[in-house]
Amino acid sequence: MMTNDIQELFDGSLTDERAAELFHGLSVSPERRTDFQRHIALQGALRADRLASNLTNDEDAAIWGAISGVGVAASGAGSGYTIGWVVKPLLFVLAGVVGYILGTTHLSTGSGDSGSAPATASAPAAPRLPLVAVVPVVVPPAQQSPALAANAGIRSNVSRNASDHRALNLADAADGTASSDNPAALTRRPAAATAPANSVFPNSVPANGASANDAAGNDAAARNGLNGSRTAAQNGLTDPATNLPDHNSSLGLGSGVQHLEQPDAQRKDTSQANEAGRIDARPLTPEEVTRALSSGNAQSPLGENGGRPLTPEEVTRALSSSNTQSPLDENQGHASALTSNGFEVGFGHLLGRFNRSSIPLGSNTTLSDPHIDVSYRFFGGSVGLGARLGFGNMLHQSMKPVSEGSSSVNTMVGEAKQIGVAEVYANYRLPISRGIAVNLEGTFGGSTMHTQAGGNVSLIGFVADRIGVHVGVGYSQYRYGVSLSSIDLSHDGDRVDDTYKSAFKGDFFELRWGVLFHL
Amino acid sequence: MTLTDVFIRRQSDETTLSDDELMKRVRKEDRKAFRVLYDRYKTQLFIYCLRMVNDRDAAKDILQEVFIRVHTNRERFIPGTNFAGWVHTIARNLCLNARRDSKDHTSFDESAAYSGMAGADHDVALQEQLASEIARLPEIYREALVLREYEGRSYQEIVNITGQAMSTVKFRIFKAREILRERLSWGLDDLRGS
Repeated sequence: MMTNDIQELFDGSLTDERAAELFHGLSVSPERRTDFQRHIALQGALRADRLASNLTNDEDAAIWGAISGVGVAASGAGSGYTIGWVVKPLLFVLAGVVGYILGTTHLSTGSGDSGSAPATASAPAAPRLPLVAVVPVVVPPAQQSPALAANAGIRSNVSRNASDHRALNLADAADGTASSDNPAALTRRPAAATAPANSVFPNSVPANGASANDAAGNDAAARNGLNGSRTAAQNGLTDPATNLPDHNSSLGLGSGVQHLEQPDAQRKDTSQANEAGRIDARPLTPEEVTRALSSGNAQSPLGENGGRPLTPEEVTRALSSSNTQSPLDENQGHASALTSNGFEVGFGHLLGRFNRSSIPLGSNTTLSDPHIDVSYRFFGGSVGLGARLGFGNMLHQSMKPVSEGSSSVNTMVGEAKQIGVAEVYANYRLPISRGIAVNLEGTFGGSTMHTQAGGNVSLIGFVADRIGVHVGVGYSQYRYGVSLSSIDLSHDGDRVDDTYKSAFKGDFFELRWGVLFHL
Repeated sequence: MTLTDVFIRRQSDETTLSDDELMKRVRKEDRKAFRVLYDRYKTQLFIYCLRMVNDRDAAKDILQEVFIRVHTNRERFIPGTNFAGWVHTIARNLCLNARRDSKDHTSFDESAAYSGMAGADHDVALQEQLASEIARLPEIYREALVLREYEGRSYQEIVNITGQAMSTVKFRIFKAREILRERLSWGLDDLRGS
């Protein structure tokens, strides 16, 4: 009875009266106390054996894996997200197309009379223009003004080699009556040098050359930044009695050959104006003319021919030469790479992901993940479609059993992995200045463990003809699924095969930079 | 709120359900409910199987087979009946079959069974002997003892599982303990003395 009472005592089923009798017996009998202690020791041994016999985590995972057939495994986003993740990239592309249309419409508006081509688009090849074009204009001495005639006498005594300038012709009007009191006849006309004297200065205000504007050289001059309509009067030489003789004297210009220098800065201004399709008719101030005349930063071609005025044939040859680099094109390379079609390859880095979600994706947000890009640009380089391969640090969540005492619970465990990430992207570049553009990009891709879609905004600048750099920020959302239980039960010919997935999503911000090469 | 919190909360929604509710969901192809049932019974069933067949690998195989049968026969389970008794009956039958088919009942992997006890305060030799003695117990005694001591089931639950009378269950447990206490007296005395 003693043993039975002890066991009932352990079971909690012993009544108070019998428990009192038991305790009394234990207090008076050493043998009973020994027996009682053996009971206690056995209980302890059984408890220890119970704890030691639990399934280990590995065993549990193996058994459940065998039951489920597949086990706990991560998988990509479920098909339930397919529609959403297809629509989102399409929206990015649609936004890019709309932006392109709006952007081109805006640029066309500013093109003015010159046509519909965007200002930054590749312009038709313009005839090359030499730095200096000196056009001799034969004017009968009888028609020369006294001032011009006087200039003719000193022309040979003045060196013209020291100045860097573009020679512009301040010549008589077609009727040959250029004089100090006829400033309108002073015309800047390098392009029409081969035309007959009577029609060579079509932009002369009083010119009788109705055919002036049909001269090819005029168009060429306009494209190259030479303002063919800029007359002497517009250039501020409104008082030929005081200005023209002085300037002409300083240049040694004479009867039909006058030179007006235009420094680089002004050439660029004129070039930009022409690129915008507008003819800058703003008259130069006398100070600007004086400054231009005195500028001497570059070697003048005048020195190459010993100061000899170019013949009309030389000018024509120069204008038609495709081998001569126009100074106006010196920055065209950067812009053309930005605004031309073709393949581009790039290399970049994600400088870090700043995750605001409670579901992390990047295990180490400080690491820089490299990637390479290949794309093709359409519509004058404005729209690009490409693919990107990267190598990222990802934190993959999976379900693992975690023991808690004698039982175990399943919880999510992060496992850092470095995996490859593939993306496709579409972007739109909005030029904001020469060689610089804002890039709007939508991306969609992922890895074997997740999918992600997002967009980024970056600033692209071409530092060389075909080499550009970009830096920007991006935002992406990602999703991935975890198979909580995947059932593949086969027994007695029955088979159940299904998968239960739980999906997670989050988002992150990123900084990115890179270099690109326009092929 | 972390992902773990989210997951545990979602998991807890399932774990609060009764066995009947979970089985109803399993019959509706709810795999998560099946997972909860597995988590709820895997430990006690494994220990039961381990002590019944004395072989850790065989116990794992039986545990796996138990849940496969549960899922396969989910339509046969009648809601409102004792799921614990049903699943234990499956395990018990599988263990009996395993013991019957086994030629060597002493192939218990003691090193694996007690690998987690190294360095503990318990007497490893006593634990090994305890496992051996449990394996030597008569089948009816061992089952009652395991259900009582290892699974912590009440007498009434054991009655429901085994289908025996209450007095029979108590007697079997009493006898099992007494046999163990006698056979392990040397070790228990040492343990008591320490």
